[in-house]
Amino acid sequence: MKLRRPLRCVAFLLLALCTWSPIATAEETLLPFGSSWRYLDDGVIPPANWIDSAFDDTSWQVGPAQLGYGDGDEATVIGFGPDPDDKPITAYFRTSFSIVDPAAYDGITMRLIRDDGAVIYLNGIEVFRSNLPAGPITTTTLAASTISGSEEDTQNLAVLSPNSLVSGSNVIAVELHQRDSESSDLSLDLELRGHTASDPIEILRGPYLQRIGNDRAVFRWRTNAFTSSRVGIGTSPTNLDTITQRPGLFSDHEVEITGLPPGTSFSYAIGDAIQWLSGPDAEHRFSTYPPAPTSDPIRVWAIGDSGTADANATAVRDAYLAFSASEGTDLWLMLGDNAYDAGTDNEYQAAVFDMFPGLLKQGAVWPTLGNHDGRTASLTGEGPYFDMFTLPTAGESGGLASGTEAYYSFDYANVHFVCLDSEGSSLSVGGAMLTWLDADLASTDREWIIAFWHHPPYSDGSHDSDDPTDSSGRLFAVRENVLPILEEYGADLILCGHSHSYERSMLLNGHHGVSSTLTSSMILDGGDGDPAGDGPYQKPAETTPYAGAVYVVAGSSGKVDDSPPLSHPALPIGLAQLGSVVLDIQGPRLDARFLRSNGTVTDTFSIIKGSFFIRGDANGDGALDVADPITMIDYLFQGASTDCEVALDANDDESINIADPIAVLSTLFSGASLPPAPHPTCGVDPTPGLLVCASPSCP
Amino acid sequence: MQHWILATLTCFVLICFVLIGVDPAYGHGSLHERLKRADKKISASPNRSELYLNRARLHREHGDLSKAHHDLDRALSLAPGCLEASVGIADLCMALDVPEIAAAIAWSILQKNPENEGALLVFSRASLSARRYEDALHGFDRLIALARRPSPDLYLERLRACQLAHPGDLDLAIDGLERGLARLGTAVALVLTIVELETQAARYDAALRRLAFVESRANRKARWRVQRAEILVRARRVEEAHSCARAALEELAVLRRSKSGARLDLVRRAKQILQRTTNGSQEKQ
Repeated sequence: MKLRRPLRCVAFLLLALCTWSPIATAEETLLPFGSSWRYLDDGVIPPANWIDSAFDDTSWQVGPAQLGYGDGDEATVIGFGPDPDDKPITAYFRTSFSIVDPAAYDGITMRLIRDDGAVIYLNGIEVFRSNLPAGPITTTTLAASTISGSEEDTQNLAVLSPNSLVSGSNVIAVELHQRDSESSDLSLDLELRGHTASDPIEILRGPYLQRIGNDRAVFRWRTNAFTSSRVGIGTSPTNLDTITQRPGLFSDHEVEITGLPPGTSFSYAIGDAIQWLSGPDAEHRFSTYPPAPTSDPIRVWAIGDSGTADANATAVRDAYLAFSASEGTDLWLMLGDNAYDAGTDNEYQAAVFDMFPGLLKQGAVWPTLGNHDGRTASLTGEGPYFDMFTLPTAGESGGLASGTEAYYSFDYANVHFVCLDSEGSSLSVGGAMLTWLDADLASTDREWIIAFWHHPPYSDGSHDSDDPTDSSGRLFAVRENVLPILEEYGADLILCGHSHSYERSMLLNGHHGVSSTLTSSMILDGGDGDPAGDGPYQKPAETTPYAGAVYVVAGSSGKVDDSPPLSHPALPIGLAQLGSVVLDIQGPRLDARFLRSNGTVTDTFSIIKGSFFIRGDANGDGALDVADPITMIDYLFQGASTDCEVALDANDDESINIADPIAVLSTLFSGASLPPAPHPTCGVDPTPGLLVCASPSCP
Repeated sequence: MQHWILATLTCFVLICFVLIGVDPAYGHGSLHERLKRADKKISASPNRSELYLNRARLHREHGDLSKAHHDLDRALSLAPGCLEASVGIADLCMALDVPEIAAAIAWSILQKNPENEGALLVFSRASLSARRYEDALHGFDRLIALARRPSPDLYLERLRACQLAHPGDLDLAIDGLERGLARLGTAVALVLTIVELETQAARYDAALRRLAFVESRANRKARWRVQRAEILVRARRVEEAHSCARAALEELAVLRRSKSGARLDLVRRAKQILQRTTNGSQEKQ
């Protein structure tokens, strides 16, 4: 759509504001926007050495940038052959700039306008790739996604190493790839600035924390020059008594600090050898993860398909920040499709790093790969996703070593989190991931197991778990191959995305087929799990096999693709609403909420773990009779023992006293009301307190 | 006047959203919708190769292999030499269970593009299926060498090729996995596979050392103790096996995993070891 001139002016102004970067412009311009370029636009494939400095490009056409076609803002309109419906996928560009002393620079800041994807070479060496898949690139390689709207003028920022610079003439070569040959437009312009020691160092990304564990944390950030990396931590902003400096010069910095005490809060700052660039202050703080067990409440935020970087994602974020303002966030899970459309570095900048700067500064985000992130991630673990995240491969944060960042596990207090890769890794039994999963779950002793990945086992949303071909069968594969392992080891909660809706199951076990195969025996609790409704789901203490799990599809944190009815029989809750999932875990209780982007909570469920008993049934014979108050009196006055104190607390006042046998006698002989839950059926204490039940007392 | 028009248009759009019940956040739609859009595009521009490539991907995602094949063929005829179409056809041949053809196509792609990961993967897997095990082994080796961060799965696939190419050569098989550990660190799936191979090769000490490492990282030890006891039995280290199985049973006894098939299996295995080692001790005496 073409905007009228006044509106275009406004749009450009807004765009300029949106794409403004904090980099100081004192750096020396090596290659300005609008420079003259040689280009090859006729679809002919150049020889392999076209990227080299010595290549003779004098037969190529020449013109100033912006080069391209189709947008109307080009200084040089390049060709695309005779057929507008069959344009060449790739066009080639070269230009040069001169410098006297390469050693004068500690970084080259590049701003790239490209539509659609580009590979940049400096003196014959690839130094940057944008919106193209990982791995070898050929003339027919398509860009990972279509660039449109305001993205067409976005300046993609990158910091290049000065190591490839030479004295004299330096050649920049660019191959520009279309998403498809029908694409109406193509654009290239590029600016290079040389950063010298006297120019200010600016932070372009972060700081953001990664791979936190009981005794460690990884600090990451990006600067506009290649500098040393230094992190200081301490118990207060004025007392950074542990300083770690990583040898070498980087623009993408990564420093791990180990040997920290567990469950401890720290202030921190990051910088180079000379100065702190961010922190220390009240915002720069984090905590190492507490060891199990802990009675402290844990707040977990889960967002799925959140990578739209638009008003939807902003609303979901703001609703959560308002909801959680007084609670803080202990953990943050991203359920895949974290940055649309293809998980490029620039898309991650907009959808994650610019969207959540505060959260990233104070705690680790734990992501999983979605199908859109997978477009720029290769099967060999390359691409922006793997470059920007530091995830456990060797059990650094708990759990067993997976040997890959694609799937991993970690512990937080009494919770074992498992992240699987449903996009790129084998989902076969006997494959590496499921072999690791089985070993990992056999080895954990945590009270709760929460697993997350992208493709849901059950969904009637924008993806259909009854369709064996949906997503190349991945929904079937996770249901048939992954769920039995999770059930065997007693997983409690499974979080997925992919469908752009919120769908939620009851307490389920053993449902591995299509929706029509769901039977009543697979529904362990068909209630809504809402403490204010049918009551919480109850599970035995610890991780107990086949005691059921709740399955959540939470793929509406950036967009909603579905409209009701969402009618999978295993998922009685189906909401076509933007939002996110908030979990609160405290000891044996887990509370989950779906928080809409407007701040309202539209689904709530709880899971409570404990020993099963009947309140008032003091002798554990399954009946409330006169023997029970006698047992209580023996306990109170004769020193008799009990394995299940809480069963004796007939009036649920969290203490055992004479009022309890009186309450039972009143029920039996005066028609007083029955004891509070669990009663008359066996269950766990819905209001757990200090009284315990060391072993189940149900007959 | 212009403001009035803009306001009217805005209201109209909002009313449309309300009337048809569509969230303004509507996204990219289902696979069927995307296929319909792809059909429409091809009808409008029937000579554009990438449209067929795109539709082939959608057909593939939908599991319609013959339609995907047709579109890939068409894409290749419109753009001879198109790498994506060629690799797609090779991959499709694998899915259609004609690995010989898949391997041949992938091989021809690799002649001009020796580092193409997609072609290498198809070549390796297709060669394995076609019982050309040395080719498969070579393909996986090449793929692993090229990869910056090879996945543990690649090493397991390579192992299969290696075992079929060189049956009984456990050194070679273990060596490949060792190289995996050297690059990936302690990948548990690879470690456990090596433990199996080393046990088969009667290298019990080596297997026990690896298992001890896994056990040291586990909060719950029972599974690894049972496996250790089984290896010790094979190594005829009866007393150690006995005490190891006993320790496993003690741990299993306090776990509240009464219905777990895995736990019951561990209990059964541990008891078997106890029985065998007790008998063995008595026989010895």
